Amino acid sequence: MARRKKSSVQPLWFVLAAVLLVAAFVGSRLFQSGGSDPFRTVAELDVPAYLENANSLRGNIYKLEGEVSNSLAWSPTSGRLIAVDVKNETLPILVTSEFNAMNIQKGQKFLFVLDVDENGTLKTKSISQP
Amino acid sequence: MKAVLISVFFFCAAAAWPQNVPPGAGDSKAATGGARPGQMNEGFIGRDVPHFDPGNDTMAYDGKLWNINDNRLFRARFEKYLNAAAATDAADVAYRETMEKIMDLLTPGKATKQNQDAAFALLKKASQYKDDANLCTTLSDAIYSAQNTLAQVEKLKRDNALWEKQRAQAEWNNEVAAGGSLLAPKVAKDDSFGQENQKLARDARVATVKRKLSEAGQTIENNKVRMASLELTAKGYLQALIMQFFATRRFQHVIIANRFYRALYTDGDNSLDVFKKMVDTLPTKDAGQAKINAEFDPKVSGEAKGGGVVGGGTGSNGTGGGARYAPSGQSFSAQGLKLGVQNLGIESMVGGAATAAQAISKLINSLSQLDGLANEAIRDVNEGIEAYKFLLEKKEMKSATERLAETFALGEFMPSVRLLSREDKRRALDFSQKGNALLAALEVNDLTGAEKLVKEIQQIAGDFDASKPLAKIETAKTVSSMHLAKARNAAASGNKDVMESELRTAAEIWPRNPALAEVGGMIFSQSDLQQRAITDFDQLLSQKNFRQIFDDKMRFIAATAMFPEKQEQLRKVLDDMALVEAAIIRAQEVEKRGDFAGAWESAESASRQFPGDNKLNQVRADLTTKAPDFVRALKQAEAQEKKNQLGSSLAWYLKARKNYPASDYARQGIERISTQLLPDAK
Repeated sequence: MARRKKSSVQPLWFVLAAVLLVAAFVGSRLFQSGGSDPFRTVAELDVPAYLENANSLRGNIYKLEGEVSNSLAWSPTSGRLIAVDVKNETLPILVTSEFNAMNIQKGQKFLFVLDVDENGTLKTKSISQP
Repeated sequence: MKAVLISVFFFCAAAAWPQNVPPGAGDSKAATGGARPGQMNEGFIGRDVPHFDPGNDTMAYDGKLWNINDNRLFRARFEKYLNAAAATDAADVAYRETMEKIMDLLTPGKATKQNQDAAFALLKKASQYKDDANLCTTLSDAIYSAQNTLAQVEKLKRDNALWEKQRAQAEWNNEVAAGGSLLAPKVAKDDSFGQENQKLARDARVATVKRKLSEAGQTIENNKVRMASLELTAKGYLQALIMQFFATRRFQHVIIANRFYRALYTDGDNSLDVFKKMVDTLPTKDAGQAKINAEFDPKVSGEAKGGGVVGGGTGSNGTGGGARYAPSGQSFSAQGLKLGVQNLGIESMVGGAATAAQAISKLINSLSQLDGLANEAIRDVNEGIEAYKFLLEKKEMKSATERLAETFALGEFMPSVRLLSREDKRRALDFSQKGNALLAALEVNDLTGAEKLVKEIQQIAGDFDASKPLAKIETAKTVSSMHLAKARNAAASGNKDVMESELRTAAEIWPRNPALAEVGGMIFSQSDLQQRAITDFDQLLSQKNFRQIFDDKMRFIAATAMFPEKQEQLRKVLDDMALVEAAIIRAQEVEKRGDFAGAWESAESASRQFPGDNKLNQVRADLTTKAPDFVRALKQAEAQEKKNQLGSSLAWYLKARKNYPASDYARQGIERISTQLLPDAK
């Protein structure tokens, strides 16, 4: 007896549909992230280079994301000096007085836009939650 | 009697060489034990006569003392005798036999005219032997001269007898001539002219007779005076010769001469008045006395002070020289040799001899006394020799030597003395030499040598009292050791002056002290070491090599003890090094706990204070390899800080603190930079 041809959906169509679905998801995610980083044009701070020779970075602006590990000093006029853990290093950041109203606590993560001044100090130009 | 004999013996030397000063002569205390000096006592025979004190073997004469046993001239003569062979050769024997024969022939009761002639003839023979020294010839000549004088006196006596006869005849003639002739014419009483002529005629007859009478009387008287003079001169000469024999201790000659004298002068007058009158007229001290100063004084003192003197002198009539050395210490000294001659000349010697003759004339009054003294001396000498031989058998060398010295002084020329064998005499010489060596050793403070000699003398002389010299030796040794100890202490305390003074004193007391060289060497070695240590200390200090100073601190502590400035420098170094050591220990303790960063920081802390300490640096280097991340972070932080890269420096400090949260350096760095970044931080 001849086999009877079944009238069902072909599996290839399922694979294509899954691929399209994944592509749509990844695309949406990429679109979503690129759209939320306002400093995506600012270069990341090269931490090892900074540690070795800050002079080479002097006058530049970098962005840095890290977790506050300690508050080193505070001045009502000059701002706050905090230690931020970045990857495996701890960098000092001078949070200028314009951010005095901002709550910065140990353990908080921030995205800092920083200016490297003449003596290699990292001074905040902008702080935001990542 | 012995004292008198020795006194008589010494009169000659004491007068001719009047000032032979014995040990302690200038120190009456030494001679008399501190009592009133014996020479100050006038005594029953006065001070002009030599006086022998048997109590201390000293001879007093002219206010001076002699020690008969400790006289250089006597010792020299005595030692010569001790080295001489016994007088036993044929000539000596013949001489002794001749002398004995002469004495035998002249023995009272046997001294006939024939024996006297035989004895007189033997004098010539005796004088041929060297031992006689031609004294018998001198005696023979004196006897011959006396005999001639006696013959001359006899002739004068005979002449006087003739003159007496002639005088008697002249007196008769005078009487006859004065009476007138019976055949002459009578002259009337009123015939004055006749009377005058008769008187003239009588005077003419008597004048010749009177002249002859006067001539006879005068000649007789002159002869009497001449006889007396001749007799006195001859007697005086012979007496003087006998006295000379006695003074030179030729006792046999004294006896022989005395017997000849008695044979010649049979008048029974034995007095020495002629000799006394003769010597009383001699000049004495007009020209001054010669003086020999010969002092050999082995005296040791327990409390002498001062230094040494070497000097010489010149007398007014001669030359003199002397040397005197008196090493001293605070507790021991010995006086040495002093020898000199002063005022030596012919006049002084004559004066001395005259004084001596006068002195002996006061002591002896008759030839019989002299004869007795000579016999007594002979007996005493023989007895002394016997005593010496007996003491030799008993090995009592000290007494034996003293007896022999006394006997020799009295009877040097006596047969018994001369017959003593050389072997017997050498034993006394050995003792005497060792005794002199002991004195010399004590004089120069050779205590080791003196001690050895004392032991040697003890072995040969059982009667030698070693307690006195040994006491001196032990005392000196003790005192020397005390001075050495003081010197050592002074050296240790850095008192150089005291050290030198004490060393010098110790050396003076006992120059050959074995410990002296040892201690002296040690002190000087210490001084040398000390000086070298000081130099090393200065050098290390300039190099800031405090570790080396610390490692050798005992040497530098001792060396800088006498230098306060250096002591202070050393103290600071040692204090710092104590901190370094403490840091090292602390680091090692921390390391043991596994806290390498903490250990490193401890070592680093000390190292920054004392960067030159190698040990600390080594510890730090070792710890660096054990905490490399922390150390690197800290070093980077400091490096960036120096470059004023405050941001990165602070980052490194933070990293260091992350590695070692307890790090002081990290904390301080963070605070320091934080303050710079936020000057008004609160």
